[in-house]
Amino acid sequence: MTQTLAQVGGFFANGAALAMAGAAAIAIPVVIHLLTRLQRRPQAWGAMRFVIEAFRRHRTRLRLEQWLLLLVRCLIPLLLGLALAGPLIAGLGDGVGTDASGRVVCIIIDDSLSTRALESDDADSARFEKLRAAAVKLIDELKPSDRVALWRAATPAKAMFAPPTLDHAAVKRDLKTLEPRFARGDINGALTLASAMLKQVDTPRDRAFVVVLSDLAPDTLPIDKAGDPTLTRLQRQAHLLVTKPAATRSNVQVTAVASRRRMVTPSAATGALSVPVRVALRRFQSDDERTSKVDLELVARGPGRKTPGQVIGKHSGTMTWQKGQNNGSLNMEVSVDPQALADLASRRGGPNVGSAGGGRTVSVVARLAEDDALPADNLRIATVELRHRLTVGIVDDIDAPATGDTAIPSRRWMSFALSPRAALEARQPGGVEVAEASAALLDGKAMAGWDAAVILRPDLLTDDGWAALRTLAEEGGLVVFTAPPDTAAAQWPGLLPTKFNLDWTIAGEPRVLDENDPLKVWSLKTDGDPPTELALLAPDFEALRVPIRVNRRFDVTFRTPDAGQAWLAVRDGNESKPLLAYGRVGQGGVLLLATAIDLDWTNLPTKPLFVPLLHESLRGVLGGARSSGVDDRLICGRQPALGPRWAGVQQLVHEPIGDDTKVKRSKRDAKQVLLRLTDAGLEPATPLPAPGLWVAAPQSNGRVLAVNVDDFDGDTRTLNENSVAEWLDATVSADNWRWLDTEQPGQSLASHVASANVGWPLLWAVLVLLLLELCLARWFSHAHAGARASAGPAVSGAAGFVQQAAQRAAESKS
Amino acid sequence: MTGMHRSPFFGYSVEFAQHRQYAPGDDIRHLDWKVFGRSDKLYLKQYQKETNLRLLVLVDTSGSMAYSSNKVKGWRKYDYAATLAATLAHLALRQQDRVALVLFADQVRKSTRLSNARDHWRQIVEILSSVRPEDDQALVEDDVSEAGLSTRMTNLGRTFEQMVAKLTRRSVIVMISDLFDDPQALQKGLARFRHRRHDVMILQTLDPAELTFPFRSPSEFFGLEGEGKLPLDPAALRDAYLEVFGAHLRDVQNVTQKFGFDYLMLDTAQSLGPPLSRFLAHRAAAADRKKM
Repeated sequence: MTQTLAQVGGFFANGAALAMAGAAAIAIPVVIHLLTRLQRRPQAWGAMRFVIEAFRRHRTRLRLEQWLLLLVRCLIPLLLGLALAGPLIAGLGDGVGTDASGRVVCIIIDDSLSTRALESDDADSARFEKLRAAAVKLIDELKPSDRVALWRAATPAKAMFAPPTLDHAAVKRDLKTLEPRFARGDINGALTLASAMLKQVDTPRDRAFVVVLSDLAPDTLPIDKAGDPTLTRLQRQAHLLVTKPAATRSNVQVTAVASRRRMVTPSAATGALSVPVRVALRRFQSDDERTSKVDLELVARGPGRKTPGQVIGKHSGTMTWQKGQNNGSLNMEVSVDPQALADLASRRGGPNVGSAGGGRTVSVVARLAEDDALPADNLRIATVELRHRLTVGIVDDIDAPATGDTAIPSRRWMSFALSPRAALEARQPGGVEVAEASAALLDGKAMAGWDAAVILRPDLLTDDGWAALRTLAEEGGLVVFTAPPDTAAAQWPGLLPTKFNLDWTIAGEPRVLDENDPLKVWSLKTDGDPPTELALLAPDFEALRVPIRVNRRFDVTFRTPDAGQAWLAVRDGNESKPLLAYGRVGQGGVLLLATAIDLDWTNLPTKPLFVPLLHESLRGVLGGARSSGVDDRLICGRQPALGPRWAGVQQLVHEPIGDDTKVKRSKRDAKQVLLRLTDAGLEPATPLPAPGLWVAAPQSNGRVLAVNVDDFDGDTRTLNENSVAEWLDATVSADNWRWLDTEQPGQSLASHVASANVGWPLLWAVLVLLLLELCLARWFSHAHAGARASAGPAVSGAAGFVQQAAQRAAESKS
Repeated sequence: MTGMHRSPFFGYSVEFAQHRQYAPGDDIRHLDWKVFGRSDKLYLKQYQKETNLRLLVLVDTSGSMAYSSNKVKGWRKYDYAATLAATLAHLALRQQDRVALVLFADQVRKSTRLSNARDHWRQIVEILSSVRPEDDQALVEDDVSEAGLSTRMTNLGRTFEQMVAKLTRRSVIVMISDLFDDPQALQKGLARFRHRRHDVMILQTLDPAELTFPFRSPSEFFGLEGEGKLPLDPAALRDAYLEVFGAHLRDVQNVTQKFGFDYLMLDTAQSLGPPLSRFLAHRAAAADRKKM
């Protein structure tokens, strides 16, 4: 009932609608006038010549009377509509003066991450609580006739009540349930929405107010720029009221946490699982010497969504802040507790860590072990893929005899490099397991269970073999090609780009560099950072490349810059030619070593780079395929485009991190975001609203997004009050804005309206016009003449003449 | 009523014409004492010169005469004028005066010969009753509007011109009309009658609505004489109409007074007798004053 009344009231309070209704009502007297003209009764008349003469003499006056009366009658509904379009209904409803009624109050409340900051060290409430209390108080101080619109300003700015409503209780109800989000504030976006709404509502400027309730964190207002088009436009539509900036607070935040490996496998030496993690920290408004302790946890998800995660590894580190230091980082390594992992694996539906075909996505949670102004950015999460064993197939001409007694065949070099422990000692679980297959017999069946394949004899592959390798790459595997140690011309360089749809050109024959001068060889290009997949080699990457020499190689050219990456390159004169080329195929990739694993071609197998290069390539590519496929720095309020690995996923289900992981969650608390298919691929239909793990549903299959807050949004400093005032004075002029008194917000609105209300004057004008219309209608209808006619003979004109004639006749008779 | 007519030829020698039985009030100077001596009865001698009154009754049959504000019970102005004409003709014929009827509108439409024959009154009445001003095809065949109403307009100037040409001897002319024409035309005509020393009586018949213009609701007025249509709010125009119409009536009266002719305005809502008798008595008294 209240809602219905509010809707009805809302209609009447819709100024534009009423004004338009008033304008439309102008047609009523016009139509009546025309209908009256159409419906005149025919009247035969003998003395027509006198009527015509009288009409000719008084035509101007008669038309003037008609037009004047019509004008007055048209003005009445028009002015009535204009009067009601403003605050009239409200004023009548109040029973109080009309000076402060019928206003449109647009409240923009900042619910960004920074408003989660505590007001002070002693306060228990956040900045947002103070803003909310001010909003509620403002609404309480409004008159029932005032309409309220509400926007929340965290990115993306969103309308909660627009167009404005008279249902104040509903607005307050929503305000009280409102919680600040984890995104940065977008006051400008909210102001744009308010401006658009005000344009639709078409409220007089003097009765429209935009109230910005914000802590005024940095970047809330562009005070470093001159002018703002949104505010410039808004100042023509409404008065602006802004809360004063909140007190600046010091704050330490975890800005990044990332595993230095995308995929973690047991150590080749010890068989232990450990995750190398880098944690970045930042602090605001504090430059003293102090320490910040960071706790790291590895949390494995349970078999079901309702099952709390289990901590399978812990580590702590301490960041020592130097005076004046604001940014820092910690490199830590978290060891996985084998017992905890085993317990988790024993559960029904538990993780498949250790199996050849699967892995386990675990969360790396970095938590700042201290209380500060903003707890929300003290915790950060990343994901990492844990695998006990990778299976790599070496494809060679298995049946070929060894080339010499002392020569080590390529297969052996590769096998040693991939699994040195297995090669030297008894085979133990963990690390990389090597399988072998004949190139000529390679097919999908032979490759079952492989994570990667190293093709030493691509020249022997059959069509089935090529097809099976393509499938392996597309499904997330890595295919490594090396040149066969034969220097003869071959067809495989032409087939490889074709089979994998790579935009590469590979020379048909290897280049041999001056066979007569073995000292003259190609060296590796040693400058440049390693690719992401080899990030762990970064500190030693240059040193590792220096001793590498190549004297035979195939020329590889990328036809387009995006066709591939040169993970290793040789100097060829002034040019740089790829030696280890990588191309992405499906969810996996192809690596081509443009030389053979043969000492006649290169000394790479004998150098320290060879083993880590193979292992990091495997983990990098396979870990990337198993990861989300999107940027690791996913933040709240965004809609990331998901990779092809997310095909078939219908929605994302939220799993909180931190202490919430230990709480059994109810169905009501579950947050879900549907996915939609766009040109860029799958993406959340709505921005991801909260930090935590977002798990693919209905089948997760290890597809998990780690979503964090944007570290820049947690800036708890605020703008300088004087700077804001100067900027607003320059942008919207001093008369058009003022600070909002959060203690008495209603008073800030009242003074603007007193001289601006035209509702009552218009209503008085309508009243005067009504009286005027009555008088004019009476006078112009010549009812007084009709009254004389009905009362007796007229005393003038023809009737008077008759009277006079009768008197003369009587006199004659006498 | 007998013997009350004033001959336009007084002063000339009289010629005996007939005897008439004495009635109280008759001038005893005209008693025929010889007859009284023989028969002991009182008879008056009547002379030719005294009874040769030539009465022409002009009746307006223009479209405006068809108007009646009371369609149910009221008389049209023409009905009133026809009755008046028949009455005057009857009075004249009873006194052996020669009477002619002339019907006119924009011109003389129909007329009878001057006669004092006993059946002449019947002929006059038949003609008067045969005329329907609103659709009289006998008078004019091409002046009927789409609504079946006559569109003939009063044209006093032309009518008077035709009458002056016809009348070779001095006559008494009674014009019964609403006189919805230019007073200047009336003035010209009366001037010519006056020049020919005719005696003219103007009897103006008007509907009460024409005198009061009592209409209230917006109407579309259309003229009975083909003036066209005019949509208007009659209440707003009433004063102006009465002003114009009153001026017209004053002009008519002034014109008649200017030439010393008798003028009587008759309201069709009133009975015919009293005003007519008052008018004739007034006229007789005036004649007596002139004799003395």
